[in-house]
Amino acid sequence: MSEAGFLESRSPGAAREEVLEELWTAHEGGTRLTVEALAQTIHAGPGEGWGQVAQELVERGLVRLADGELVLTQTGEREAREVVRRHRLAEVLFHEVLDLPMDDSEAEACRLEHVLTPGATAAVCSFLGHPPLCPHGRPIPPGDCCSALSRRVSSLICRLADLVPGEKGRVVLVAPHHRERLDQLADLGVIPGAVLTLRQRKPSLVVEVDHTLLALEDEIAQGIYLRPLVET
Amino acid sequence: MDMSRAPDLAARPASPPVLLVGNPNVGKSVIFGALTRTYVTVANYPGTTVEIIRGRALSLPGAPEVVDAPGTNSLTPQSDDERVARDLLLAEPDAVVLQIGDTKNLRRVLYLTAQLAELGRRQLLVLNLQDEARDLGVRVEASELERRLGVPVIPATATRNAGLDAIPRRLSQAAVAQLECSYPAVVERAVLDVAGLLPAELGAARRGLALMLLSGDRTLGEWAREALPEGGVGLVERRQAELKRALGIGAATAIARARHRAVAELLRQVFHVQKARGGTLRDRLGELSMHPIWGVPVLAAVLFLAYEFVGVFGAGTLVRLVEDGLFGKVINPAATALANKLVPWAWLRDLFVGPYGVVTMALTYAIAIVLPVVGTFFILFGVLEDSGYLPRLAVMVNRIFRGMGLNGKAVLPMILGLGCDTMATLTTRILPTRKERVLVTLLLALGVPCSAQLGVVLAMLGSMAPAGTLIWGGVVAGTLFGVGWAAARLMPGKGSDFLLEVPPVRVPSLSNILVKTVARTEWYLKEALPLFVLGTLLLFVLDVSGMLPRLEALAAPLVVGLLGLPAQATDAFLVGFLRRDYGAAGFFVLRRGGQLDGVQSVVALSVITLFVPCIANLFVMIKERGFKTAMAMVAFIVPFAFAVGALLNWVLRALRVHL
Repeated sequence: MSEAGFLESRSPGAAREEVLEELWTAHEGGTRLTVEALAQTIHAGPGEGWGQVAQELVERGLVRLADGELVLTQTGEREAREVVRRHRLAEVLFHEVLDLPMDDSEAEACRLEHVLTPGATAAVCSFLGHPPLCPHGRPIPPGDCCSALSRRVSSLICRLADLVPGEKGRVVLVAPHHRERLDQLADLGVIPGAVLTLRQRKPSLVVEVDHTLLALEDEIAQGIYLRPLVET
Repeated sequence: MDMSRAPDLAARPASPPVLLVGNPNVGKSVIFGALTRTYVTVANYPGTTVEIIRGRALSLPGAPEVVDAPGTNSLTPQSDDERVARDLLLAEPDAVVLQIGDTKNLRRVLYLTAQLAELGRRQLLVLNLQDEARDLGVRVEASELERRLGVPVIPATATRNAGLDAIPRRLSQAAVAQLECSYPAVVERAVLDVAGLLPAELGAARRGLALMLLSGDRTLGEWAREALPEGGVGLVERRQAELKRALGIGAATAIARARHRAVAELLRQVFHVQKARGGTLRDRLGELSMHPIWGVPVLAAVLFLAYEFVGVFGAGTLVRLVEDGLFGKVINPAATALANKLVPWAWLRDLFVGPYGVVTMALTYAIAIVLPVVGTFFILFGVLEDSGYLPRLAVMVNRIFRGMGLNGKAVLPMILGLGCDTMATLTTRILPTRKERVLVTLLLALGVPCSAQLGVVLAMLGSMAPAGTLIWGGVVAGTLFGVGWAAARLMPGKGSDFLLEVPPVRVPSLSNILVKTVARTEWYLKEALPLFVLGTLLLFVLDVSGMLPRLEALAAPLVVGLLGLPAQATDAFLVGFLRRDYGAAGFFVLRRGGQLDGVQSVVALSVITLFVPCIANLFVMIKERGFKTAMAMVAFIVPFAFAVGALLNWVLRALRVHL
């Protein structure tokens, strides 16, 4: 979306978030940005107007200038962290779960990062099983939902391949790599709502659905998302 | 394998045929056997009943024809087996469907029932494997299910012959099941549109067929082009695209979900689980046999028992009994005496009872040496199949097979190849992609010794230091993995991922295994015996015409120079082109005569093991993979086998190995 004229087409809030995100990413990579460098390298599309946005951020106390370089303040860092978190979670959703090409996922994530509410972000994060990394391999800043759950160990949604043998889960989503697998799995009873028990992971993954044992390739198990059930 | 031993069907009975339909591994074949009392393949491994088996059910009123369809989970096929089952249903529109189901897996049973109902098929429902369901605390209210479905529901345990007597009594009550699935309104409208295009004579089946077409069933392609009017295929495709837009998911997924919802509703009324899984001994065994650690000793135990049964009992005890006893003392002397009396010309006598005689060599070899080995192997294989061990073995070896571009499913043809490579090459059909089928065909031809050959090879290796067996095994296994690894990377196309149903461990029924072994042995003899005769005739002609020494001289640089073998070994390689076990037997004779030392034996056996198995296997390779592919494989295998042998010879000599 480099030549799309981001600054003209989007709200001022979204532009501010883009700059915060850019500064976070730069900091993560160990670099600092001057206003000029920011205006030239920002992934949302270089342009003249970014200096103005940076100025606004300084006025709001989210960014300060140190030796001509832009640095996130504590408040700014908190906000930047949330934007980055939303962006990377959205990438996981679009790329890994919904199987969109990387470029499209990236573009969709750029839009979604500005509109997700905190509640929706937590829901997406839980749905995805609190993923630690984005598809590019960069860390996803954890949210409250992640730490709350890490104490309870289990997550709201996980992949079949992430269960421990003996654990059960109710299928919420079947998203195999190959479309034909979806029908084949459905014929064998692996459909949303079905309860799966992981019997073993090695030497091959074996699951029980109803009273049928199925041996699956790990790749297929990666595409089966379920809500872990606690044995009662 | 042609096993359609239909009784005389010339007089077609007046009553409509009965079609056995059901999920895989639910005991369909046992019920078929009980109804017809004729032979049928019963097996645990998905894919072994691809052949359609027909019989006449004398126990049913009107003695109708009975057809056993391959196991299927859905009428929108995902495999060849399922396609055959669906095609049978379409080809026999008047047949009464006898649906066989696994009681404990009622969900999958009713999922199929729903589809049969949409095709407007009259049916009965047999809830089989009541014993296994009881062990798991599963209770199905058969009478309530019958009331709701409106078709006869018959609980049964076929292996104990319990409940089956109700089938003849209730056959006439067959009806279309009432199991309506409510599809989204857009789907219903599309179904009406498509069904309206289908010929009226299809009657009630039109709804089901319209659903299949909308599900995007590509296997219906040809049928659809014939059944639909001009432009019909295009309309179906447009409707599919519209549905996808309207529903946000594929039509097939929406249809499957609606069916599952209807089934789940019914299950709530009739299906109860009273206690959690108890964990019987059979379950424990099943778990151990695919445990990452315990699975290995289980496999070792299975291999040991296999060796004791096939190698020691079959190739040792039985062969001695038949070869020395029956052939050595009875048949061959009698045949020789008869020939001497009846045939005045010496060359014609030799044709039958000479050193390359049809009776003294071909028959003796086929029946006395090979048959006991193959027969015991088929018994073993039947036990492995029916016990449910093979899919568990597939689970164990999946990761190893991945390296060769295959997955665990390929273990069935590979193991079967240890019995007979020809039969195994035929079963490569169960593999989903062409690449996998080609890979397995190549590996079978290259380095999986069949039981006949294995028997001879092991007997020979047994006469030398254990290191000989290790070297031979290492060379063959290493070559298999190496070639498999390289071929998987060089060959275009893709493998498939692994999705396999693992049936419960079951105690095999002896009678079932015996009939199966008899049918397989019969098939083997029909295939192999003519080739034994052909091979013997070839040798006979070469011998009589004095060609053998000339060929030996021609091959000397290769056999003597590169492989370091005596010139007579050429004979063995020559017949090895016909059958490699035949070739191995040639080495066996040389070894017994003291003409091969340890190193020479190992080299010779390695080369002959890597040869193309036999002419029959070559024919099947051509039939299954096409002439060009088969020839390319042979053009690779033969020089490659010699190259490996030459290298082995060079290494062993360089290291001054003595065996």
